[in-house]
Amino acid sequence: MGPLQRARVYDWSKEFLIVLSIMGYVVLHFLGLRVNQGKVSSWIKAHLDVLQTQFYQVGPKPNITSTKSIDYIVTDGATAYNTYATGRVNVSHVLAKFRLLGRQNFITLSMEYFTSIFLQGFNPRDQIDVVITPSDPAAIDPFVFAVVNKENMSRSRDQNYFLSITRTVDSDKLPPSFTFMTESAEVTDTVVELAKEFFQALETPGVEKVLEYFAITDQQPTAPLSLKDLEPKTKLYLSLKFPSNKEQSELSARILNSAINLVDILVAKKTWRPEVAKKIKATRDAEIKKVQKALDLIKAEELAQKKTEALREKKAALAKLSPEEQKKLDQKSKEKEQRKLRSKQIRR
Amino acid sequence: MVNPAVSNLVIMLVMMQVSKKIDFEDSTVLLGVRALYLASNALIFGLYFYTRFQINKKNDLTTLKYVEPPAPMSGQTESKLVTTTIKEYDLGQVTSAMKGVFQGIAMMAFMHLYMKYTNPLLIQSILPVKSAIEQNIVQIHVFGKPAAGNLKRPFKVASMFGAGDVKTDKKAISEAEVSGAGGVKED
Repeated sequence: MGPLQRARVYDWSKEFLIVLSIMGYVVLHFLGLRVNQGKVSSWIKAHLDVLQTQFYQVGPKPNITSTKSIDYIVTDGATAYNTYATGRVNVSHVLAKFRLLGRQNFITLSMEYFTSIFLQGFNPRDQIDVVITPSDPAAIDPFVFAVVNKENMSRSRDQNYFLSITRTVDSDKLPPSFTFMTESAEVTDTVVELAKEFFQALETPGVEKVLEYFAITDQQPTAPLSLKDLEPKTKLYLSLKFPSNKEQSELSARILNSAINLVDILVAKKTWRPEVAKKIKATRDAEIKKVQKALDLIKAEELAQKKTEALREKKAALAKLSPEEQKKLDQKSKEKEQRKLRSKQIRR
Repeated sequence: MVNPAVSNLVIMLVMMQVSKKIDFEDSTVLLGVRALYLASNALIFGLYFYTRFQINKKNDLTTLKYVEPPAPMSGQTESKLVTTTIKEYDLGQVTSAMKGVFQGIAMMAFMHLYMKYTNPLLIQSILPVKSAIEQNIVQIHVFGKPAAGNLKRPFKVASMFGAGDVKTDKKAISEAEVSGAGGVKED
């Protein structure tokens, strides 16, 4: 039989199945990728107006005139996208990070879904984190204040260091699905007074489908490891969800707009009363002490390790010497000890 | 109400006697016992899914704060404040209960399919249903018991390794609340 004949007789059903499943996988990959890109694109489309009226530059390059939202996105893999805006009074820049589910790989996606049923607290989802950095982060008095969606508040507290130094307080100034996380009652009252635009947007029904949390904080989201991490640098963190209809998109844009405008108001804000400032400072001092303690512990451990190493080296050097020399050294150290003992006895 | 541990023991002893009298070699009996086991598990999952549905429907967003002791043998030393809602807490309870059921099924599958034991099928058709009905979360949402007394959240857990209790007093919560325990990157 020639090769052609063999190919004709051979049962190709297995190969057919393999090729089909590979093709299916590839198709699903591109579909998933399109879903992720589409989500980010429509978010940009919904918020572009706000960003372009607020900022000189939107997107990674200056003077983008394109109407295609893909031109405003920096793609960092199938699940990570970013966008950026700069050029505004009081605001240095805004960075929006999109972290999406791995829809491009349905195998890991279904595995993640499966584990999320069994593993409590593991609940992968799409995430939008907008960080607004004021031009002079030291111009705003240090404090931590946040409005947090109650649906996921334990996770929000776990993932953000700055929220874990606040107290959770329910209030009738908020819709029932939100709560305050704040350092003191006076901080809450002041910010509620100042951020009128934001709190008005919060009254809109369906806001819990759009906003995860909004925080004004001088502390960082990750737990501090050095004293530098604890230096007050005020930033505004906005964690959003992907809107699923037009009303939600509009609301989301309104919230973003109010958060950016709030920077002007915060810069112009009067300083805290001494009592409030003292309380806020006390919290930070306690944190500084904690970090210092941890640092000292690390240093002490390093020192102890160095000591043991030096001792080991000395012993190794001793072992290399000839027996006579070792004896000499031994005697010397013995004499030394005896002298020490004698001097102690005399002193008594 | 009888202590559930005691009634479990009584049921187990009775069922062991009963299962001695049953001829598991008979293929119709075997089929029946298997069907009973599957039905009981379907009932349990139905119960839990109904509970979950009820929790989502009630959507109780009341804030719940409690101080969790460090997990035994985890290396943690500090107890941690958990700030959550009644809804999230209840859903977590259902998830952990369902996890327990899955573990039971995996165990049973090993015993029955690999080790060829049939006796436990009968007991395992009754005890898990009983313990599912006795779950606090099911008592509250399916049988409409008020969440007070023994059913007050956070539920008391009998711990094996002498780990501390969950604390809900104001002082403990106030101390743990601003401890700055968040934002730790795990890698």
